Amino acid sequence: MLIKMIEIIIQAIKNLRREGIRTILTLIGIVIGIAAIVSLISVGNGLSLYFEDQFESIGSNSIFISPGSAFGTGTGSTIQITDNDVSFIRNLSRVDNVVAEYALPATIKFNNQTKSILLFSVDKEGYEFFKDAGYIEIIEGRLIEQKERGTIIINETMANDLFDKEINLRKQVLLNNEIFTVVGIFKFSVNVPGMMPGSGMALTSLNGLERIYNVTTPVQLIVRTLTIDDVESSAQEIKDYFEKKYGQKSITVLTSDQAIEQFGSILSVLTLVLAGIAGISLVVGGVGIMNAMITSVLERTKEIGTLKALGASNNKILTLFMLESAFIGLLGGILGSILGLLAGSLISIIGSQAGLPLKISFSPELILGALAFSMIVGILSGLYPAIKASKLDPVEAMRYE
Amino acid sequence: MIYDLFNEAIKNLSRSGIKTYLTLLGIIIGIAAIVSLVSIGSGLGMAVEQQLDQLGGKTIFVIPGGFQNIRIKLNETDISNFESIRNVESVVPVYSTSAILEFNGEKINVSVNATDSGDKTLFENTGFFNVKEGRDFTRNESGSILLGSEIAENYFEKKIEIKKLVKINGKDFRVIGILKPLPQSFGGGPDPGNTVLMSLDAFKRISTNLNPTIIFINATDKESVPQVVDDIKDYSDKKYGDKSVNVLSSDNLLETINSLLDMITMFILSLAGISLIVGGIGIMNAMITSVLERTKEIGTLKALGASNNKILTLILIESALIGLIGGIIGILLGFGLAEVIAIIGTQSGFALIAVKSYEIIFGALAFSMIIGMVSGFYPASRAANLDPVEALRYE
Repeated sequence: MLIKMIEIIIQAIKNLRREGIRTILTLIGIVIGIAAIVSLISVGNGLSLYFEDQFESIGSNSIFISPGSAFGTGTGSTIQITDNDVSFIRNLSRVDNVVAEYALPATIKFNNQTKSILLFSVDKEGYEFFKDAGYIEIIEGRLIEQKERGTIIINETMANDLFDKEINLRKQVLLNNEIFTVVGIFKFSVNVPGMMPGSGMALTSLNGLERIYNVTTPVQLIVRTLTIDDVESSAQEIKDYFEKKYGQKSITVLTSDQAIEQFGSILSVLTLVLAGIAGISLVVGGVGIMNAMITSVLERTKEIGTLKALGASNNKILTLFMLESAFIGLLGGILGSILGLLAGSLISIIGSQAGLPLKISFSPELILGALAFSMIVGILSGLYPAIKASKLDPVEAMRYE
Repeated sequence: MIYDLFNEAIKNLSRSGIKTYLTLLGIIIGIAAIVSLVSIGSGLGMAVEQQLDQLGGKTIFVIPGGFQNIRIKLNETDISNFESIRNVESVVPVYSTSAILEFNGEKINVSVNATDSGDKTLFENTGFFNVKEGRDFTRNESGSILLGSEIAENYFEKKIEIKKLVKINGKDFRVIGILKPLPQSFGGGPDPGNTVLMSLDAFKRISTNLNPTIIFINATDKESVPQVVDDIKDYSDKKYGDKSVNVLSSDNLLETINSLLDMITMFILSLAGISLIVGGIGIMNAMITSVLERTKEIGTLKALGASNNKILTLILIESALIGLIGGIIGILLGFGLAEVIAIIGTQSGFALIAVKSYEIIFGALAFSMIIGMVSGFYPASRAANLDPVEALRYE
């Protein structure tokens, strides 16, 4: 049986090679489709892995709290988190520490130019944690001290690109007409959720921030619980507190797991939709296989008749043709996966040079899935031609011109 | 002569039967995918355009930079300076705060906006807030509110109807109208479906925050909009820094949204376009087979005096025809598909329109014919260059 199977496989390969350029073209159709799907999914998976990393580096015992309901309110107003709210959370029994992040737009004057930047800060209790957690990396100079009132550190973009002249260490700038000294230049080592990288950003102490804004309210709180097991219950306690005080939809409370899940599910829906659109080409490729197999059956009608006359069963003929089309599918899948991973790597290289967090992930599931999928496409497309071949009447077939 | 070749081409195609149909199917699928995507994509742009047209093109949105409720604070001086800009007809600041809306025992946090409605209707004044049920409030009505349709219908277990009494931050207000939502939310603008709107007098009962979150500025006429936009930008850039305040007119809003939509559509199109390439390969394959099968026939034609050019043209017409027919059917199918998507989308709350334009039709037809011809070129030149003697001997 096994030997017979091998014989049929060898025969199938021989037949495919006989078709030459046409087999190659049919193959290319499948290769293109699989490559498109594999590259999209590998980039999509890479992206969601990146987000997972980001959240995990902050710690899975974290809870993110931001004002407003989850799906954004545009310019609509949200509640303002007060000091009382923050101390309520700090006093919860299972809460270890709370980082309150502040961010405000500020007007900066330097070298006779006026620009608008985002000025942010963390409160005193959050400062140590913020410093230790490695959110930011100091490239030049030093970090601000929490008790300082007149120092800022600025991001690379602001130092190099925002003004006609570079801002160097120890330069003085005017923030909303107050004098601040630049003591360091930093970059984000992880993207702190809620703080978008990009344009000009400066970090000052809360004392510094209070010099230019009377009333400030945190844009986000990062709460860390004592153990991972406390996350769910603390999150619920915080949510209940805010909803009782400000009404439903007043606050968004996300645990690390929920945040990863949300990002992950948005990304995977997006990836699936895109892969689905690219997958249309695979259907077209399948039609191509079917067409090639029908042609092949027609051309080999006489040969099939002879085989049958010599005693080949209908089943054997069916298997032979199915194998041929499955083989086209499989081979297309292998070549397509390789090409797709190459394309994915290329996209990620170009993307990371443009500053996007694109990494691709080579998962064995993806490759196996792609191979299985392309083989199924091959088998389905080959079904009709193979049945047609197996049902040929040997007498008629041998007479066929 | 071309006509004869044309006839011959059609005959040859129909002779191949199922193989021609399958090749066609490949092109049909690709074109249908592209046409439906373009149709829905341009429909999105059109929905935005319609919305902006309602504003009459005279309204300029001024949105202080920042995010959520932390924004640059514009004040009374800024507003009166905007009023004195040349060709400004009216300046309508909108104030906002977050508040607790209480109805039927439930408390939900909402965003409350307030504006001075003046002598004109709200819609004339802002072009943004549009009452779909009930009526506008007047300037000194301090106990009436308009509810966004989303809040009225979906926020609470029980729907809030007109004339119902609700509490905002503990104070009583009567609902006198429902606001129409926008089909697409604007970059940064408030969402009228998700807000509570009231007069300034009413607002002062619940909040002391009088820094505008958005200012609607109406120019005297459409032509002066760009000048007014520039003047506002100059003023705010100088006072608060570059790009500290977003100044949007319906024109540049449309441009921004359209360029974003175009980018997304192009990206998705290029993914769908992959299937057309595969379809083109299918045409090439079919034509190669066809040339092989007709080797003897081509040899005979050549022996009877058919020129290389004539053979080339014949095969090219055949493949272009496959492309063209595939294109026609694909367009019909694509438009049908877009219509179905639009209907399903509209039912689930998205403003989707299936646009059917001549540009799409001609573009798709031209594209599918070009695919057909490019794919047919190699097989056609192979056929044209056959040696008649060899070809006649071919088995």
